[in-house]
Amino acid sequence: MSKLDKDLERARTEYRPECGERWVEGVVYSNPACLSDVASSRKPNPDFIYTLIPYDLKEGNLRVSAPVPSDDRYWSIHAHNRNTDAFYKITNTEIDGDRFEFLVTRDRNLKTELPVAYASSNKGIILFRLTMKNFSEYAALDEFRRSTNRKYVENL
Amino acid sequence: MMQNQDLLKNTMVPIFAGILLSFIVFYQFTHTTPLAQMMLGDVHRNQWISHFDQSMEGQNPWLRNYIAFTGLVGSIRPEIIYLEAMYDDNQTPLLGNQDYILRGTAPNCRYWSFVVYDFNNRRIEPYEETIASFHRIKLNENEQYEIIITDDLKKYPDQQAISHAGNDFNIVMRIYGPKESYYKNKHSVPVGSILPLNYYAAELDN
Repeated sequence: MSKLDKDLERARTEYRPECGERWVEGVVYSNPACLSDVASSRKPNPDFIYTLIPYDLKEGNLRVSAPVPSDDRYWSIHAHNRNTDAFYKITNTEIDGDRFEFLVTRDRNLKTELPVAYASSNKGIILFRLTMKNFSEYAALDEFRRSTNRKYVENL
Repeated sequence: MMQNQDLLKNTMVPIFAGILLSFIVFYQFTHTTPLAQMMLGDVHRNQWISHFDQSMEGQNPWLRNYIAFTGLVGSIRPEIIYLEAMYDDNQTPLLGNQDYILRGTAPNCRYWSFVVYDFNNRRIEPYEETIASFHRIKLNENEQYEIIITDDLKKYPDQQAISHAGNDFNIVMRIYGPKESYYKNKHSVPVGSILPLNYYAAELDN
């Protein structure tokens, strides 16, 4: 994970025109063309557009909202602990509607209407996979995914 | 003189042997090697190996370490199956000076793809030419794919081909949203055959 931390920090602090705006308010929009020199993503799938949200639950519970594709293309969310255990996953076939909101927390007594992903470490990462049927779709899908947002919330 | 020999035998040799052994063991968890495949793969189908549940809680630390070097966040059931091959059907490494034909039955799943990477687990450029995806690959009348792996796509203008760009390579098959029975019977996951094109041509001649 330390490799990933370094790469995320680079995405946050280094602007590269060919990669576009990669870090927007805590969400990392990776560009497939800019993954070849990224140590933490050595074997990416060229068909996938990866979006990442690193988090630290010391700042509060994390509320995530993301657009869900309405067609049959593969889309998924996986939430990973700091030790890379996946503790939550969902795909677009399990979701009705064009947006999905969920909460990442360590508090098992928390009461909320939202789907909850229970983490077992404060730090971790949420990974979105969105499939391109053709590489020419990138611009449209990149715009589509950029309505993803995340917010730390103390009380619900 | 005797003292020097004893020093060499009792001190330097064990130190160098320890360094060498450490390197050999460490290397297996940082690269796709035959030993790593033998030690880490829990499903072997012909030349393909798979690690089901790479990122499940309780997975062994060796596999975690391997994943950390070859990717980062791995697969879990029932969502993702990765299969990896570094040999052809004749158990010969996949070489950059050969063209190959990859054939098989498409898996029952939401998405599958084959992607070629070099032996250091790096992406090969241009990456758009290294992937065969179910979105773009046409199956034949028997619902099978037939994909050529070559250093130059122009050699096969009318066929479905992907590029290894002259690199020795390994190939990863990704299966997303697989049929659940693949987990019950691990050996039911359909895998492809990989043969050098010249081998295939010789077979046809015979």
